[in-house]
Amino acid sequence: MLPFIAIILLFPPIILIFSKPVALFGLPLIVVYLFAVWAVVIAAAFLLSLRLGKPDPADNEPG
Amino acid sequence: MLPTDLVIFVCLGYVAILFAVAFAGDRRARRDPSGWLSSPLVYTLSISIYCTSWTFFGAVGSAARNGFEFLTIYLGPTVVFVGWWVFLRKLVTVGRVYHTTSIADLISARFGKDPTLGALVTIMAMVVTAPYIALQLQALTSSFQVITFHAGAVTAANTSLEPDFTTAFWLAVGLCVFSIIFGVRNIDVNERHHGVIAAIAVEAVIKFIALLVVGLWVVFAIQGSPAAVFENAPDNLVAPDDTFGLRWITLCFLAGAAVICLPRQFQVTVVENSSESQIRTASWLFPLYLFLICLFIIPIAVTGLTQLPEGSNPDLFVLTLPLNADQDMIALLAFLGGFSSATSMVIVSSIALSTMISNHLVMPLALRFSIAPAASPDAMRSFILGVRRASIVFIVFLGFLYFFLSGASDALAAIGLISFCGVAQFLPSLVGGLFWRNATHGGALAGLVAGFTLWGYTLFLPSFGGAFLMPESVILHGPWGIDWLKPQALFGLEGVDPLVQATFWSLFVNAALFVCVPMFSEPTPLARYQSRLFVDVFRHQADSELSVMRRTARIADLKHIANRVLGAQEAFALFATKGIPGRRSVIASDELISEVEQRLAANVGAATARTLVSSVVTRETISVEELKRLADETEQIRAYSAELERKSRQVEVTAAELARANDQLRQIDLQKDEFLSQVSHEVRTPMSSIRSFSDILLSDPQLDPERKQRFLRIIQNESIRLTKLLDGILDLNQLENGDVEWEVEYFDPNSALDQAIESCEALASAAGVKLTRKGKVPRCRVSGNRDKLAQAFINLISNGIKYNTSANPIVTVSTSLRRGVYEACVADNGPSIPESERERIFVRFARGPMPRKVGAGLGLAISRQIVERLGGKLALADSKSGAQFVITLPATNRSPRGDR
Amino acid sequence: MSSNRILVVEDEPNIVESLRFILERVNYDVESVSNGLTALEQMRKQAFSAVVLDIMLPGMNGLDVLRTMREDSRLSKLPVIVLTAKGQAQDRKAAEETGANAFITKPYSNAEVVKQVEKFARR
Repeated sequence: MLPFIAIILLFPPIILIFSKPVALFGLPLIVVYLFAVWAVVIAAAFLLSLRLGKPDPADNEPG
Repeated sequence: MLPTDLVIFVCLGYVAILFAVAFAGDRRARRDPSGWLSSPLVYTLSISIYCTSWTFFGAVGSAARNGFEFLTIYLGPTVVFVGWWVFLRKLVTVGRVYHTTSIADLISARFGKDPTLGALVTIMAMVVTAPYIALQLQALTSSFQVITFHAGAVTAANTSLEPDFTTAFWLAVGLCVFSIIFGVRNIDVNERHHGVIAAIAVEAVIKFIALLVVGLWVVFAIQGSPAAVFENAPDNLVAPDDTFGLRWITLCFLAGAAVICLPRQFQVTVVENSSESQIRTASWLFPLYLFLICLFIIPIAVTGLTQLPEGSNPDLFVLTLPLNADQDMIALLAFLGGFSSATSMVIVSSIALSTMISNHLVMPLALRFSIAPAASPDAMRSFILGVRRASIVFIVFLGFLYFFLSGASDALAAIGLISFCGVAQFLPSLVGGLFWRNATHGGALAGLVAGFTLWGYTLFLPSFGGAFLMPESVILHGPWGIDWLKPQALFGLEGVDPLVQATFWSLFVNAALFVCVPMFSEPTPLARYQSRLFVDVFRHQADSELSVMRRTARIADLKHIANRVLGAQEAFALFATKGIPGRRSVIASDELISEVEQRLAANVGAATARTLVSSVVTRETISVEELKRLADETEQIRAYSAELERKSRQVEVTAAELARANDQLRQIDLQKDEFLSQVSHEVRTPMSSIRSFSDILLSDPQLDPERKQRFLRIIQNESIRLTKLLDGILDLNQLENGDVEWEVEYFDPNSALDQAIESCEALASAAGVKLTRKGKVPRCRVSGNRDKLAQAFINLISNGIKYNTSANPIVTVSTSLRRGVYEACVADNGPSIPESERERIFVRFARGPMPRKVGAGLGLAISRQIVERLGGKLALADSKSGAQFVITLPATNRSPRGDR
Repeated sequence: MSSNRILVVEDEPNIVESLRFILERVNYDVESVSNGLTALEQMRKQAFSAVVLDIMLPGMNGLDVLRTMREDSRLSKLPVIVLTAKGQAQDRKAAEETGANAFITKPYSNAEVVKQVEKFARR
């Protein structure tokens, strides 16, 4: 699901909502939005990899 | 500026460190293959060769020119990696399990180990990669020129410098040396290069630190705070109007495709992968790396645009900003970062391509034309290694040549995206190959050729702006002035970004052919089998080829090949672990053949390995049974429906048999009806006479006595006839059912004949017929019932008497015995029986051609039944005049008991 | 040309004899033949006021004789009394469709035969 959410959030038309000359903490909204989405996606991927990693700890195929 | 000597010295020192790291990495990997070099961190860092100098220098330039667009190049891969479960995991597993050596190997192996596909992909990769390498060489030389320019960096960045080809040349040489030393040391199983990977990881760290340092310095030392950065930022970085359109989507897509399809990315992501945990970590760590790299791109771009003089080359902001502020150390670090990103890309690309060139271009040709030395085991190995080394030099210098020819023109700057679009052509075959069972070799080939051709026509050739192959007039007005063939507005698709329309057309046609061609072609059994292996990689990992392929080869031959490719030591080890005795002319098992092929494939690619092994395989069959067993659901359903079809055919057959039986029953029923109707008719005829004459006698008492007498006689005769008829019917019924036991005895058939003649003599003399007997035969005996046979004779003789219309009627009886066959003949000189009637007269109630006098019409039928039951035959013999009935019976010579 | 001559087509001699007796008793002249071809020959040679026709005849059967008669303009009006041992409904139907004027099954009542002949024969 994660890549699809990322695609929806990063592609038009959703992204156009944030493409406005508004500043947030002195930073352009679009910059904050892009990097925030990006960071959240990475964090989610990190959590997901931890979850997926646990049931199969001995995943070390030789070869 | 920095002194040239110092820069060179630092570079050399840095390279020396890389050498040391690579050496140490190689040695360490040999001691402990699963050590920290196989750790997910190193794996992720090696993937970050995605960030080339095009990122290091170019991203800032792109941000300065086009705002947020540069982000797409990193968002695409982010989506692919965080969604690793969807596609990357499968790709990497296939690559790991089947020892894939390159993207060309994977595609060719998937579609039936086809050498043509491998060669095609290799050539495409070469065309796409060479300009990319040229771009790196340009970045390296210009950054070197800028940092050592005597009049100061800012001036240098503003002047359009003549490219320094000498520097570029020596850089190319250096890169070749490094790649050859660490990339082609051995032709190793799995083609993993621990030394190179270690060095690449170090370079990834360096470029990361360099960019981070420059970024932090810019934000906090120059601007003071993040917010301050954006105070003077250009519009397209604050409130972009039309960044997020089709081009945004296209670029994200292309970048996502490229991070899989670029030969160097495939090399580090798939080929160098050794476990799933690596990719699991990379799924978030690599996006994080990209995230951090991008974090400072915008501040650097904004600062460069605001602080440096107008017209400064934004591609070199990373370098010129620190130089402008006299921060030499930071500048040097930035230079090293750029140096790292460029060299690592060239090294990995050249290694990946050299493997592809040797496995998919040179080896197949060498094998076909027997150029490959086969004399000694080592010759083959050194031939392959030689080919790889030559390929590296070839690739790097192809890039150099490209750089040399295009010079400092703008053509290079755009090459990054053009390359992305080129390698994206592999995507349909790659994705389809892994997820779509019915994808065929023909579809992949057609898609790749068409996609690549369109890419060349709509994007690559126009990018030279008329300088190469395609003149400017064609770009502006289409070939021969045909408007709708304009490369950048194909089929009148005007007003769309050239990159977007090129991507659309090439990938659309590519994917369409990939999907449509399989509708008209059947995959080969091998391709079907490979398809199953690849598509169902998670389900069938345990299965090996041996269950399907039935091949026979001599062990000695296999060993010879293994020696040639793997080297004597490894070959020996391979055969030793298999416990194969070294005797010659022992036939290798399927398992061993597959094992050898797999090991060879890990070195020279699946297609070449197959060619090699096939050259010694004496017999190869694909077991249909096994294929069926392994077949996917569709095929199972097909098998099931075939079974159903077979069963329904059986049912049909049974139904036909039943229908036939039913027909027979109906026939019998009809015969019975007919028989009843015949019996009724036969009974009615004498009854008519009886009734009519008794009527006359009753109604006419005045009848004269003579007449009265005559009519009564008729009534009496007809009554007798009726009785005989009923007896006959009962007799015949018994005979036909065979349910009445006869007393079986051995008797002389002549005695039965004598008995018959005796009883017919009265009838004959009454009818004025002469009854004669000819030549009495020596006594013999038959088995059966004497009285029954006599009855048959009586029927025949009395027929001859009754129906004889001759003026001088004679009935002749004769007998003979020949070779154990007793033959009795009853002939008359009455009317002969026409050919057409000959069989019919034996049928019940059949009428002869002449008016019937007396008799029920059952005589011949009964006689025939009797004779057949005695094991003999009753037939009508050919005769010119009269009728001649012949009875033949199996007989033995004179009975010992002398029965009569 | 009218006459009181009757043609009996029948291959059972005893039945011919009985028919001849009962018809002669009521003053008909009776000619008899034992097969179909001879019967047709006789009909064309001399005039009959009616035909008594058996169906099961050797060679050409009674129905064929009847059909031939109905197709022959000179014989098409000649009354035919079918006299047969085949007494089933479909036999009667076949005979009537072919053009029989009366249908009598064997064994027959003498009175019935005389009645039917009287009915159709033109004296």
